[in-house]
Amino acid sequence: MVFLALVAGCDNGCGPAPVADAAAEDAGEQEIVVSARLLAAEGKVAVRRSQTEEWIPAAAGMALQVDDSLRTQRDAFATLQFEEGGTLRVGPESLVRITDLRLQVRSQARRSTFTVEEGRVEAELLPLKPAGEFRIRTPSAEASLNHREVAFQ
Amino acid sequence: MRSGLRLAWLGLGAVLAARAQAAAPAGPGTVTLEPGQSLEDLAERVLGDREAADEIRALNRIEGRDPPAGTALRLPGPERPAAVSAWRVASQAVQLAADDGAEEFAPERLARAREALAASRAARLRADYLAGQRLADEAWAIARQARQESQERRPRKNRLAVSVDAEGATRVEVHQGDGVKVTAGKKSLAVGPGQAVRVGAGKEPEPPRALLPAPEPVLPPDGAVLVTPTIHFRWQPVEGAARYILLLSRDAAGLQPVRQLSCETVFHLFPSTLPDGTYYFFLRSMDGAGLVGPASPARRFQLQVKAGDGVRVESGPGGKGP
Repeated sequence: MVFLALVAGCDNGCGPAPVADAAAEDAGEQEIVVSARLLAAEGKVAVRRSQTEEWIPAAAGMALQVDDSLRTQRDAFATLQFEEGGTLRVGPESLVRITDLRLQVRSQARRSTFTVEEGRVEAELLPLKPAGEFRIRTPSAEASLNHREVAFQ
Repeated sequence: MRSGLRLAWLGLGAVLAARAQAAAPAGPGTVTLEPGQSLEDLAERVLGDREAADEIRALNRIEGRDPPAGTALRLPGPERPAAVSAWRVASQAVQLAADDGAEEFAPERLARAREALAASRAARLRADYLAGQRLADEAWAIARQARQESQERRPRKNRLAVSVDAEGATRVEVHQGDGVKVTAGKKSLAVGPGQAVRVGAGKEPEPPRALLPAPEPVLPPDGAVLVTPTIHFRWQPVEGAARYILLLSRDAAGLQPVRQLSCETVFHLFPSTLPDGTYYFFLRSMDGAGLVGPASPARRFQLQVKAGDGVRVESGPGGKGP
C-alpha cells in the first residue's frame, strides 16, 4: 500500500492537484491521485468542490479533483480532460462527480471513474494500457472498460 | 461535391465577370487603369482579390512600377475561376487532413499536399491557370490520401456515452473502440462497438441493441462561408431514426460545443446568434428507445454574418485569400 502526495495531472496541462493520499490496490505499484482540467465551458456550468455545499461558476482551465462535482444547466456544456487524449464531454442538464482518478507511476496505467447522477456524458479515450481501467457509474448501472476484460472479449 | 463547389465558383465568376465588364470600357477582356488607381485596387475592383494584381502583371508583362493611368490591361479569362475554385477545394482538403491528425500520422503526405497547394497558388499568380488547376487537383488528391492514411494509422480511440434520464434509466452507447462491460444488479454483459444497452432503474440490463449509423450531412457544404444568420442544415434520412441530434462546436473534435439541437426532420433552419467564426457540426441518429448513435465526421463552416456584404456567395474555406 502506497501513499503519495500528488503534483501531477494529465500530460497536457492537467493539475496541479492538491495533496492527496491514495491507496494503491496493486501491491508493489505506486499510484498517485491526479486531477482533471476543464477544457471548455459553455453556458451556465458550475463546480462544487469536495466536502463543500457551494456551487461556484466554472471556467475553462479550472483544475478539478477527485470528489469534485460539475453541473451544467440547460444549453450548457463542459469538457473535462482527465488524461492525455482522454476527455469527458458533459451535456446540458447534467450532474457528474469525479469519483476516482489515479495513475500508476511505473506503468502509467490510469484508473478513472466518473459518476453520472443525471444527464449525459460522452467519453473519448485512447486504448487502455494493461491494468488501466475506465468506469462510468450511474444510480442504476456501471459501464467499465478494463484492459483484461477487453482482451478477453 | 467538388463539382458542386466548382459550379458555385463559376457562379461567382459570373458575378465577378459582370463587375469586370462594367469597369472595362476598353474592350472585351480588358480594362483601363484609372487615374490614382493601383493594380491592387484594380484587381480588387474587378476580381474581388487584391492578390490578383500579380496575375494582371503577368498577363500584361508588367515589370516594376504600375503602368500609367489610361493603360488598357488584359484581364484573366474564364479559366481563372476554375483555377481559384480548384485551389479552394484543395485548400479545404488539406485543412480536413490536418484536422484529422495528418500532422502526426501522415506528415510526409500532408507536406506534399501543402507543397502542391503552394505551387498551385504560385502558378495562378503568374497567370498560368491551367497549371494552377492541375497542381490544385494534385494537392487535393494527396490531401485525401493523407487524411485516409491518418485515419488508418492513428490509435483507434474508445468512444462511449452514458446517460441517465428523468426516470432514472441508464443508457450506455458504445460508439467506437473496445467493448464495454455493463453491470446492473447481479448481471453483467458485454456491449460491443456499434451497440447500446438500456438499464431501467433498479433493473438488470436489457439485451444490447444495434445503434443507428450517423446521417450523411448535405448542407451546408463542407467549408462553406455563410453570410446570412439563418443556417440551413440538411442531411440524408436514416431508416429507423426517431430524431436527429445536431451538435455545433468550435473545434473539429467536438470538445467545445456551443449548441445542441434535436430535430424530428432531416433539415433544420437554425437562426444563429453565434458570433462570426469557424464552426464544425456533427450529426447523430436517435432511435425510438432514445439510443444515440455515433457522430458523423466533422463538417466545417464559417460564419461571416457581420462581415458579409450581401453580395458574396461562396463555397470553400474562407478566411484566406485565394
